[in-house]
Amino acid sequence: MAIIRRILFFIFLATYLIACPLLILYSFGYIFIPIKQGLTQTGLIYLSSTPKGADVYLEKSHYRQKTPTTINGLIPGNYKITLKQKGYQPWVQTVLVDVGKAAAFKNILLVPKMWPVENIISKDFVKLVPLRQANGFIVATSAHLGSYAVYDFKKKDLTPLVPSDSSFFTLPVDSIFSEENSSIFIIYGGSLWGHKYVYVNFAKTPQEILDISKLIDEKSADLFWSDSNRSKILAFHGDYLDLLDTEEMSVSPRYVENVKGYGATAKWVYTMDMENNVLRHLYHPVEKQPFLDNAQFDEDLLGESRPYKIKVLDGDNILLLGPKGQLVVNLPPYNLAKDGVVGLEFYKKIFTLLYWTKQSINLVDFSEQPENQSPVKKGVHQSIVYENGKNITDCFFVDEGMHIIFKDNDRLYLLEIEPAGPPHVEFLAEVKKDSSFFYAQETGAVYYLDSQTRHLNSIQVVPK
Amino acid sequence: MNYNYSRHNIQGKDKALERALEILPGFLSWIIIIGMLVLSIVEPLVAAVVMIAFILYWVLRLLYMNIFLVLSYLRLDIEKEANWIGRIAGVDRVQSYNQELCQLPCPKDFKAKWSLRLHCKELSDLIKSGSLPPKSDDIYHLVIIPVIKETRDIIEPGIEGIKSGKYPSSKVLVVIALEDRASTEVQNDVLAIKDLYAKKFFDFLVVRHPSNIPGEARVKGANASYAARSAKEYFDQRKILYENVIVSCFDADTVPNPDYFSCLTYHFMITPNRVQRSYQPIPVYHNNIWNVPSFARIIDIGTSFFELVEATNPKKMVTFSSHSMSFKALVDVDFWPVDMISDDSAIFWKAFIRYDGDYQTVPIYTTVSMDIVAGRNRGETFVNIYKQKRRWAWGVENFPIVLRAFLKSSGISFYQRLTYGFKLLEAFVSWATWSLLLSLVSWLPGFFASREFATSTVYYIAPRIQATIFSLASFGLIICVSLSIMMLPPITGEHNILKKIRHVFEWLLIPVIVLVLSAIPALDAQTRLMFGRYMDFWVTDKYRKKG
Repeated sequence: MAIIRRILFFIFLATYLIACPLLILYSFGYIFIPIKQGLTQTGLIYLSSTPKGADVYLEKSHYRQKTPTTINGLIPGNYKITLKQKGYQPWVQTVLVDVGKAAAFKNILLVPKMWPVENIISKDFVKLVPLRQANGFIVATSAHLGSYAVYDFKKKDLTPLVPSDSSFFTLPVDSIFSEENSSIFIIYGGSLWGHKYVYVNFAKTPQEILDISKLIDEKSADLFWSDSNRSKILAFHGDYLDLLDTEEMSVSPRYVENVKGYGATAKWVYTMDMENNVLRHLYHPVEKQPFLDNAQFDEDLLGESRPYKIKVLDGDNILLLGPKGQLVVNLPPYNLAKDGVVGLEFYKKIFTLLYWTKQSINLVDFSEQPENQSPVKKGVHQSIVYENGKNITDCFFVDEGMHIIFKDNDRLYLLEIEPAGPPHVEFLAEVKKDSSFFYAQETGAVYYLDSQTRHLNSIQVVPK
Repeated sequence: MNYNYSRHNIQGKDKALERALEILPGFLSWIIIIGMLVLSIVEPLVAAVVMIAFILYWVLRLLYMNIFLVLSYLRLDIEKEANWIGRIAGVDRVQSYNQELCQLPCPKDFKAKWSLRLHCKELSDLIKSGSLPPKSDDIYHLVIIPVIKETRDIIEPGIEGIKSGKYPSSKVLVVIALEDRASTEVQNDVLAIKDLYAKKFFDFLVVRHPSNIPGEARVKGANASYAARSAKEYFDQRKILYENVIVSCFDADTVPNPDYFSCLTYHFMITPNRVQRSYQPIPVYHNNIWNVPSFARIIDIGTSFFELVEATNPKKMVTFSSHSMSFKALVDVDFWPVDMISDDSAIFWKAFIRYDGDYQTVPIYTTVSMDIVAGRNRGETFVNIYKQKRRWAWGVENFPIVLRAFLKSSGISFYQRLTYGFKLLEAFVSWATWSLLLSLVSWLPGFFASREFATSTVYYIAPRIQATIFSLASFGLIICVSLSIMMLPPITGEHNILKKIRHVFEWLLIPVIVLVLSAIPALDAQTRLMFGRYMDFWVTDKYRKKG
């Protein structure tokens, strides 16, 4: 037994000593090419698609495996990759393969030859207001509040914003204030001499409807709140904040003064003073604490413009959105956009900010710092993923952030973000002029008002 | 070398060294786990490469061990039909017997042929050594059974097994080492057993071990040693030579194979340097194997397999659980340690140090069957098994004591000190870390992938390599399943086929079972030793289904 043991030991040792370095080299892309009579470092292409199981073509040859798959051992160079699936348009991309690198195409969304359009509600709608990170959106058939309703895509039902016996039923609507992930809406509207602010709490059944006009200064105000503090509404009036309490129906006038910028989370109220210092305090008591000093946001960066809306992303990261669409972050490179930002959305799951101007769609990656930044000061990585827009007004992340649906001049498009090639843009639908759209991550469907019929339609973009 | 095999009663540098060596295994285990965790976060590319190297090493070692598992099982199977009593009689007249055997025609049966071939080789080695054994008539067996809370239904099957075995029980002295603090029920049960079996053996003693003897801990070794000292006086009075006595220390639930004592006697006689050897049977846990939950069954079949593999490497084998040795060696080393929990392995190391490295374990291809630790329900069984495995893993307490002896010893060769020391440390560290690395840490580099790593070929190829290597490991699983089906006792009751099919699928639980009931208890024990939180002996609960 001892001899057998010794022989086997040396066989296994030799196997390990040979196989281990070979496997490690293989993982780095090294393969033996007989023509070159030596080891050559290669790259690979990773492909996964929705739906999966698509045929893969490398140049003209049919690859034996279907998606998801990895094609490795590719000598550096350009390769034409085609994915084919019955009922879907072929997906074609020219991919640059580099030594030791992987060109990854995750969740390639195969585009059907015909988008499956479903009619949800056959009414003549005039407006669609998306409610970000909520379970629905607002649609309206006229300018009166009584025609406004919330469509819940989970329950698939339409609930009027106010009941038919409400005194606000005929109120003409000018604008709606809403916050991400909130079930509170504040409707501003009315006749020229009698404008009102109507507070609607949709979390209550039946919904709580309050006239909070008397709490708000006649001067036009910007209202904001955190959904965790449903009864505490903050109103910005030029250079100060009022705090409205809808439970007590009271107001704390000039709650914070000397305000150049403002924002709120469940726990904190954030303000920027005239010296560009960002401060924060609890709702009560108002004991301001320095959050960021003006060394980070100097005059050159912010200028004289105001007000800035403060958006708290996570932990210590904040964004400032200026009146001209300036976008500033408290991390290098600080200045994300000098002007023109139309809207933004932070996608926590992948630590990525999506913002858009009329012409471009941009991503800001907060998950790691760019290589050229100092290792001490973390930074963000910004990239333009689309820049051929004419009048982009709204964008939504789709499918784990690998795609974006955007509206450009009343046309909906699906943009595939390609880290290793030019972006794919697919036309989805024409929407009613000046109306918006809504994309539901949970169902993978986009909701819009049809340009011809004005009915509420949906397209299943991501198969579920 | 005369050496105080204990962590107690040491001073100065020895105490500091002991403490440092107590910290070492746990420290290394945690460094490996935390190191890989940190590496996965900081340098996931490097971590992925290290994991490839480690998983390949693991699978090759697994396959290597599987080969020896199969060989060891074959040896066990070959020796199953051996006529040990006849062989013992033959060894009594070894010269003529060897010649007779050589002239016998070679049996056609594969097993008989190999059994005879191995037997002939053992005889030749014995003759060549010139170290002829005492006559079998002069050989006595001492069986010590420590008892503290085991009742009659646990103890009696073992006693009955010794009595009804093939070896004459008239040559066996049974000593029940009864703790004074045992309950009245247990004490009455022991006395009842004595009354029933006293006349069936050479003698049957019940030795009461007083509590609170200075220098002793509440451990099994203290009880067994006290009984062995009484047995020494017994042999002295009857002028029985210690060299001719084989002592077996059995757990109370141990049921030896009917061949056990004949096989043991044969191996004792055939082994040239027989006094300086321990004799290790293959422990199996068949007493209640079909009455326990699947996780309990799988983990203890794994223990039997481990001992089968160890049996193929006697030069490095350490005693485990119920085993036997020369009474002379036991007296020379001053009996089992009285302040350590892991007396089964500690006695090997005591003897190894005492005889300056000239001490080995001889595997004997027969089985002793024990109970799988159980409880009144699954939860209790799980907790009891966890505690038992942690107690086994507490064998790490031997490491600092052995290493201190190795550092002092001039009699043990440097090679032996290096290889035994390394094997001891490596065994404990791998016990605590491998399963954690394989099941939890191996996927972390992908989880913490940085942008740079996520665009490298390693990010995509490493998981495929790992998956391929893991699929190779399934060959090992197939071997284990096949052997377990062949080794396990027949299932009583209805639906036997269904139960066996279910048992095959139970093996799919092995990664989780090994992690939760092997690696984590081992890490727990090492961490306790690292922080100087010494364990007390915990007597396992044994439950058997009545009827």
